Amino acid sequence: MQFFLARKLRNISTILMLMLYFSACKNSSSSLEKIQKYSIHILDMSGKEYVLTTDDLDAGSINPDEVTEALPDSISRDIIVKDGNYYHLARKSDVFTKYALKNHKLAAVSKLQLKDFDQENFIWVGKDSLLLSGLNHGFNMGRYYLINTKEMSIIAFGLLDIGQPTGKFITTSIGFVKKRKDTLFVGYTFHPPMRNGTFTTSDTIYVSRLVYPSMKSIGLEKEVRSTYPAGVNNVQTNEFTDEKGDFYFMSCPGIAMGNRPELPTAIFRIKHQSLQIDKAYFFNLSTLIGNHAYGLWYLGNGKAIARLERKDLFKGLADHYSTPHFEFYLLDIAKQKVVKKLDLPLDKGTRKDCIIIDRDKVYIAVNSETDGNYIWNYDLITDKLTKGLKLGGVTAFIVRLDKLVD
Amino acid sequence: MKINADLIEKYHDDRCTPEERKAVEDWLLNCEVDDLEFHSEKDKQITKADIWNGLDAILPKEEVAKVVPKSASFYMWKGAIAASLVIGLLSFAFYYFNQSRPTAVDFVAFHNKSSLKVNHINAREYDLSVGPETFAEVNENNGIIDLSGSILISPKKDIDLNFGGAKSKVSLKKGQTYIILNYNTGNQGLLVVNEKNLIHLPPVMQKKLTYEFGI
Repeated sequence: MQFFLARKLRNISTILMLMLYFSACKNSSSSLEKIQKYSIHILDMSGKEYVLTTDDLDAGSINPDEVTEALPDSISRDIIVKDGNYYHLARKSDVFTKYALKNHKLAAVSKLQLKDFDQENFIWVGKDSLLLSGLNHGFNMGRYYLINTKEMSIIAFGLLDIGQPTGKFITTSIGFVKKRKDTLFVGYTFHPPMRNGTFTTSDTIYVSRLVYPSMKSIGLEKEVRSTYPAGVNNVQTNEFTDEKGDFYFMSCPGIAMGNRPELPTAIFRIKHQSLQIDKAYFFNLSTLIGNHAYGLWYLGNGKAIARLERKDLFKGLADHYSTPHFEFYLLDIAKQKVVKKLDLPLDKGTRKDCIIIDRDKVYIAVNSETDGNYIWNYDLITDKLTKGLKLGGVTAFIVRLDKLVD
Repeated sequence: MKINADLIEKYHDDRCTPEERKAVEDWLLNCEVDDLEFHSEKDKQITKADIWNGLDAILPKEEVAKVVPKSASFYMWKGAIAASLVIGLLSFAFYYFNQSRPTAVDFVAFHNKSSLKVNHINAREYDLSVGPETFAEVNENNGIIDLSGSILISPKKDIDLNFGGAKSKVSLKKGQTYIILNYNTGNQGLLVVNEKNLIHLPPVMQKKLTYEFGI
């Protein structure tokens, strides 16, 4: 009798547990919050990162530690943000995770296990189709994953048929991937082994043309006017396609990327009907401004902003990120002219994706030692710069600014 | 005075002059490792293998003196060298563990001459991986670390490391893993980065470090 009573009690408790579980599920799904327009990624002095969202970048003040918690170590700034979701590939585990905001925190929605994959670049080839391109863990073979981000399923994966390092070169860096109909342009370069703590890069930019989606090579071009094409585009943007369909990318030979500082930071172009880099076009920023740049953002109407370092203000790589020395320049892409230096305080942080364009407004996140951490609003119509949202509290660097919804 | 196999044999047979005895003892307590003079290359290889086997077996334990080379077929002097190294290690251990510097690190020197392999060291205060071609030495007087190369360090308690010069004091937190790079050549200076923040380094350095340290 006692036995049956006990079993009955256990059944009742199981039912209660299930009811609790389902009500919890209901609560958690209803706690998926309204998606705000902008996402801001913060890094503090101790290396902790925070993601917060807002609808207003023009005014107000937010302390990240007051509105959210620090991200777990498994997520970092190298995220892809689209339509209210965040995507991140964990370096060690090769797990690709989709996150959504829940109670002001990133919560994993679903995961995909990738294999032997180190991400270098991403492009959206459809609304829910994400092409990740990168390398194997030996960093010497091109690999890709085509992912359906709605279902979180792998559509295709395999080798990218690009050149491999030979001779004194042992690793590859893929700097950009541009899709044009059934052709994929893949820009990359090679590196010899690091010696005595210094790394360097081949003096050549390689651009392979691959057939999409077979990823088989149909052409290879070598460009020697500079090296290290573009960069890792989930950390910083260095390329864009204009209204005509012309594709532009900036080389990054400065110490923070290619470390061939004797070569110029320059913008290159592949015109929309051409399969080759435009030999008549060479927007040499190093000659015009006298420094190297990391970061190039297109504003529309032939205008772009580049973020240039000040070599007279930092000593080397060790203080490159912590010294405020970055300046923003407005560029006329077609005329290959520097329009002006934007009147902003010196910014710090080596690589940041700190600019977004929202119609006629350009938002620029600046971490100034003297003026504080602000999102600046550059009005393209009035040509005026104004201080907007302040990031306070633990904020040391604003490493990303994203449009969470378009 | 050059330390060789014969001299060590003499030392163990108690046939040394006071000068020779002092030289051998200085050598044993010195952390700089010179190549020993061997009777032949073959002897060198056998001894090398033997010493490494012996060290593998004894390193994690404190009672290292109990472990002696196993095989009796080795030449007498080789055993002596192994035993000398064991004594040397014990002396090191005694010396380091009896130092009372709470925030200073407890290594005095290491040198990984390999151009490829990483050396792994477990100590009371930290786990340490020493990158290829890395040399580090702690100045006993001021605790300043002279580092040339790359190390991966996971402190078991909060520690401070001093690499000399202005702004070179580094505070490391318990349970975190840090990569520290310093090279005397080039303009890069001392770089300290938490493993979780590796993404902030230039991509080429990230690749090198993730590959090298397997992180």
